[in-house]
Amino acid sequence: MKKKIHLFLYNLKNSWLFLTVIFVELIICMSLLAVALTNYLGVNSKFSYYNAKIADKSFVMFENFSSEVNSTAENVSKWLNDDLKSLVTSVNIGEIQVNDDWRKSIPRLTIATPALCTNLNNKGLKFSFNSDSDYREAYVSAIFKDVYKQNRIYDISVDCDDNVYDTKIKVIGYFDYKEYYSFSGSDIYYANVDMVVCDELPPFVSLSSGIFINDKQPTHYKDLGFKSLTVKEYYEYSRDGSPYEVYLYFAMIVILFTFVTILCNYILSVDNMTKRNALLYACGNTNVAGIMIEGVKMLFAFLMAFVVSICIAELTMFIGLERQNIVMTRENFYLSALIVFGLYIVAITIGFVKFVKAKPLKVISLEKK
Amino acid sequence: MSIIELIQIDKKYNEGRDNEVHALRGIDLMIEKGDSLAIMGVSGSGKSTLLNILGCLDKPTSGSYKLNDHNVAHKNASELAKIRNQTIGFVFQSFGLIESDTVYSNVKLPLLFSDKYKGKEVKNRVLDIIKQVGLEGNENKKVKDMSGGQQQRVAIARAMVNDPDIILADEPTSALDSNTSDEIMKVLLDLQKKEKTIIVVTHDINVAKKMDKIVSIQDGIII
Repeated sequence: MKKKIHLFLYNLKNSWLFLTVIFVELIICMSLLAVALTNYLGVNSKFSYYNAKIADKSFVMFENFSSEVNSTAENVSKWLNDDLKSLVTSVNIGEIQVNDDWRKSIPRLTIATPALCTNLNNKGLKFSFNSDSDYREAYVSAIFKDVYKQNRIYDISVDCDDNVYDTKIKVIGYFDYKEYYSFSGSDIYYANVDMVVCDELPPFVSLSSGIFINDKQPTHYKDLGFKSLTVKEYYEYSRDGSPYEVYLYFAMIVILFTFVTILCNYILSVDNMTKRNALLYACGNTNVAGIMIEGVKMLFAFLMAFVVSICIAELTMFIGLERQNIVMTRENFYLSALIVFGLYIVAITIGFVKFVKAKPLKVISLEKK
Repeated sequence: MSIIELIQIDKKYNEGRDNEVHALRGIDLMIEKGDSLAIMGVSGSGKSTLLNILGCLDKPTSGSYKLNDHNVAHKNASELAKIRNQTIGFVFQSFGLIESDTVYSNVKLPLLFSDKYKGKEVKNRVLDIIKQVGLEGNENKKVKDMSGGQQQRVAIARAMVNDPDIILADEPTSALDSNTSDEIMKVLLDLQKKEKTIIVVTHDINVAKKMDKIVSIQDGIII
């Protein structure tokens, strides 16, 4: 075993330059792909609300309301003849007023309309809404578990400029701070939201956009002065406008280039490796041991790169690198590492097979046939 | 005492196929300890195949091969590797060196697998052998920067470093001029004075005449 270790170290020493290059390239590939995948998958999740059932419903933007009346829920309701019951939207209304001893953690509250809570795939937010109930159901960020206990009722108060939102909430569940839920173009980012309450919109909240789950076409809302299109049109417009695929394409091109260079360099180095292996064979090694050591060496290079990449990924997650509230996850990193490993195996296979097939005696010019 | 005893050694390549080659046929050969032997023959006569068998680089198809009184013909790969390391030193036709490495690294190679020298003994042994072949001071020089004669000395040093009983040299002077060839042969024959058994494959009669015995091989048979 000791001799095998010496032989392994000898092998490492003699290919240190090649291994260093591979090491650096693998780290770059794993990290780049992890970021690109995170962005791609994360941005795709932004559109996870979209499905065939709502494709022809009306998506309405209130910010471009041509009327001089502002876009508060009360005013919008008047213009739409009180038709806010079918509105699917969420509104972040502000920070919950807390006692002094909670100063370090100030929960932020988002109201999700009942239509949102019941009509869309809400990823586990199992609300039920009853307008006659004394309280409203709420999901709370897991970081506030010690503050808001499950199945207990709390008084909540949020200052919204000159208005106040007061209600009682019952905590029915928790969400992890890393998850986010996106719909209708206005997103509930759990990273920025600490409590989601299912409730009808207070009249003073300002609306930006929403989906109307009813039988009215976008033209109805356009005629009233709103900017409106079908949900399908909005979905396609949003996707086309998102640069999420660019990062993935860039990563794929860089990775492809990298592995082509690894493949070529490894094939070119096989002759030297074979000669060295043949000489070691003559000096007292077995061919099988030589091949195994070479295989272990190449896997060792990947393993070292993987360890360093994990550290980079963990650091990235710790710092909380976010872009449009997309947070890198361990799953994305391991997926990228797996893809890179697969490409790495493919890249070195041709050279390695050539190395395995080489005959030591032929290399050192002793074998005639 | 015979150090090497070959009895009815046969070697076939691609046995049973259309392109079967019968490289060695019924070879009988005894070599005494401390002898020097030249194996001569034209290209394709089987002399290199015979050297492979002698050096435990390859196994015979049939027959008996006793090395230091041990039958090695049917040993497994690991056992043969150990024998190669402990008992045999090789000098190859085209030097068989790693040109990008230093003299020291090349000579040290057999000691990667050896139990004879440990720790600081390894370094001392390597430096001593380099000195013995007349290359003292060149330990850190890259082999590719050396002349043919110097490179062959490095090859001989590597063959000797683990103190083997037998030195096998395949055309050790074919790539050298006559003066350098004489120098290399002198180095090899000096080893015989240290009770090493020297076996040289050569097509050069002048080299062969320097050895104690000459064996000629043709079409796989000793003539």
